[in-house]
Amino acid sequence: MNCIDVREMLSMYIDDELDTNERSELEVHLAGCDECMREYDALLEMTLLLRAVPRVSLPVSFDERLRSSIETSTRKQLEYKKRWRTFSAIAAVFVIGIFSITMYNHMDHTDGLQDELRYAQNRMSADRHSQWMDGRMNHIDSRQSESTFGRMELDDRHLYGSAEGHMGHPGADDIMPFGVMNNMDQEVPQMYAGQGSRPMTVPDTSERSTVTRGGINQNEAMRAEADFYLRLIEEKLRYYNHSIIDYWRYEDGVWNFQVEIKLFGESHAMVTKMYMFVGQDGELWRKDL
Amino acid sequence: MGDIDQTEKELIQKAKQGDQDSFEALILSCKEKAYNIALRYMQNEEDALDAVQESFIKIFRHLPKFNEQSRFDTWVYRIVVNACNDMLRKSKKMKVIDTVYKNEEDEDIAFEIADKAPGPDGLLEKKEESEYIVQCLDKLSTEYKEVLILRDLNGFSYDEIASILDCSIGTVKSKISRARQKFKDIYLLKRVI
Repeated sequence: MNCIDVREMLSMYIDDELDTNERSELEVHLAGCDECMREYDALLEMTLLLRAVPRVSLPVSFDERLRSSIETSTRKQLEYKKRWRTFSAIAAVFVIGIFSITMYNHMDHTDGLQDELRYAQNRMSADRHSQWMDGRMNHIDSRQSESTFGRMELDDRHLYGSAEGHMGHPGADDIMPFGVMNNMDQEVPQMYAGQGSRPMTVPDTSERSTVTRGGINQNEAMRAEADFYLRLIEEKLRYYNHSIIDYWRYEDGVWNFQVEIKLFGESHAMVTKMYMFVGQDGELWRKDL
Repeated sequence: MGDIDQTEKELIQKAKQGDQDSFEALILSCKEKAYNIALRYMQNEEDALDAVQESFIKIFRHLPKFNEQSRFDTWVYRIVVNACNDMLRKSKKMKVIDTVYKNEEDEDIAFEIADKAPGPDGLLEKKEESEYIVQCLDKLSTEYKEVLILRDLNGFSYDEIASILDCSIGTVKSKISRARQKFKDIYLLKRVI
């Protein structure tokens, strides 16, 4: 065992992480090598100094604070889930509404249809996201007992036009064709697979021309979901050099986002790390859980 | 040990269903350690408490997703470590400490801690000694600081550290070895050539 090997193993020796053979070889070397012995003594001293640092107790108020924080957080989470379900449902119905209108008016113009969908999508992305998540949500809070679609504001109705007829149903779950969506889930990973860096815009809708018409409605709703989470990711990672590699949705409504982040490591070297983010019920978190 | 595992399993089950009392019992054994880890990471009580609280809230809410493949406390500490790293990045302190030494600023390190370094007789009051050590520790880059916080300040084994930091044991070994050497250099006010 030479000095270089020994120096590398000194820490493990201190922590008793060497096997019997390694340990005896090292001890033999130390017995005969003053420099390595000095290095060992120094490292040992550092270790003992670190280990002597006293533990600190949690402040007395911690338990109480945590308890009330959890209660607040649980309450907020329930409210948030409700809003999310509403948002998803509205997004789908909104598109069904627009789709119905355009189907009626533009029977022969498939290009117009694409444009309408894209327009509807963009209006949803821009207007609905910010409106729903800021202003409208407060309204929904104050009318907990009303049915989902009963909460439509008067000035919203012009967006839905003749599609209002679709919104008589009580409860989001009746309208939301999640059951139908599930049948399509085999295709979903393909549909939403991102390539390389994915900007915040809607992907080219011409890819979807092969999908059946009934499917387009659900896809648009899921597109809205995906955009929502992507927006959250951009928000979270705005200080980081990142790119979204891929993302997909599972049957149970859980989204996964694969993100590559470039960080500065030691001595300014660039390190690339892969992270997975999970989105569910409007919440987003990193998959270390 | 079997009994303890059983109790823990029961507590996890109840806590998964939202029983806060069970959750409190569950984290009883790991919250002090969690705090100590956060404290040495963040270097101040307020940030450490924030990090720990945030972590435990996150843990409670995501408990249903805990798959019980890893140990519960390892999972807790991993979340705490990540929360601290996130907090540090946000406050952009990371930029300052990302290199092992601030090369141009070696002298700054020396001056900053010089007045707390051991005097000619090499002796310090215990409290000052601890403060000095903690300050030296803080001068290390995060990846070296965290292994020493886990290993020497909190007594985790190499296996546990690998699990918490989600890396290989080989990585842990080399990090600890290098971290101690760098720490020694800082402690003795040596410069990197």
